[in-house]
Amino acid sequence: MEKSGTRTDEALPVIVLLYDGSIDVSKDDADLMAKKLLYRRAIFYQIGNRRDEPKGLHPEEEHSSLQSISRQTGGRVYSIRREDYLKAMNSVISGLHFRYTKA
Amino acid sequence: MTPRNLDRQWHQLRVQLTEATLHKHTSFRVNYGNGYLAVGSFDSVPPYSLLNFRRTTNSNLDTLLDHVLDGPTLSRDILFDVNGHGFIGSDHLVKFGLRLPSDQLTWGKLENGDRRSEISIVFASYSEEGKRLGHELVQFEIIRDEALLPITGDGPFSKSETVILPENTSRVRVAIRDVATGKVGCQDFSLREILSAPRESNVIR
Repeated sequence: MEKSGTRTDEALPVIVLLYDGSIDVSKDDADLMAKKLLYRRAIFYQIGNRRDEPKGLHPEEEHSSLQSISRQTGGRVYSIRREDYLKAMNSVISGLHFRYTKA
Repeated sequence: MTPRNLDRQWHQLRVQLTEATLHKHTSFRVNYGNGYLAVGSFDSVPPYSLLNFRRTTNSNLDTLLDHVLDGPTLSRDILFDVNGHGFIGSDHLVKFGLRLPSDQLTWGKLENGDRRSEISIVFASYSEEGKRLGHELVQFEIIRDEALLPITGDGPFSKSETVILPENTSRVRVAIRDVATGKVGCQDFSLREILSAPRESNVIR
């Protein structure tokens, strides 16, 4: 394993999805997306607004599939209120500090 | 971590904390990517891998390749990208990086659903007067893993080759042939152009 703090020539991508609403992703699509991201060594974070009442036809499944992309790539899902966006971004940056990659 | 099984398949990863760690920390979060493709086992960029790699120096070439290498015009029946650069401390060692879009090749289908193509690559060196000084012939089969295609995407086939150029080389012609159709594509480089590109460290392993 290689510690993220050491110098490498390759930039490691991070995707942060900021969303406000529902995103329709099936479990199969989510699993494939996670593998695509892992192959490119990308971590996927999501920051979304906290909703008291989820919308959409299958909100739980959508939510779960989206979460699984982040979980599988080593990222996280932040469900926050508007004023906490900065805190969530700082948490993402903090998580990257401890990033390890396969040699 | 070095993967033990270099089988060109997708592998799941699981991280398990030791008992000591679990006792030491009351609260923690572990984030990790849960899978990988051992890209080092492909000899190319996935989904492509190589089979039956052969390389010869100054071997006999068939009439078609001879004609293509020594003809005045550049055949462009196969389109590809190629760039070359030298190494620090050497004016004869040159590395070429080739990128070949998959639609430039003929692909046969294997029993397991994968695709197979076969190509020949020639690196020919010429003097200032245009005399061929020597050539390297590289031949291999390319296997495209169709099951990995949704993950890796259908990018160009990539391969790099390092060649030693003979004394007095002034120009290099790189030719790629699709064996199934006999189609050939060529590109020419002056040695000066190659050596003026940023050089790589010459590492002896």
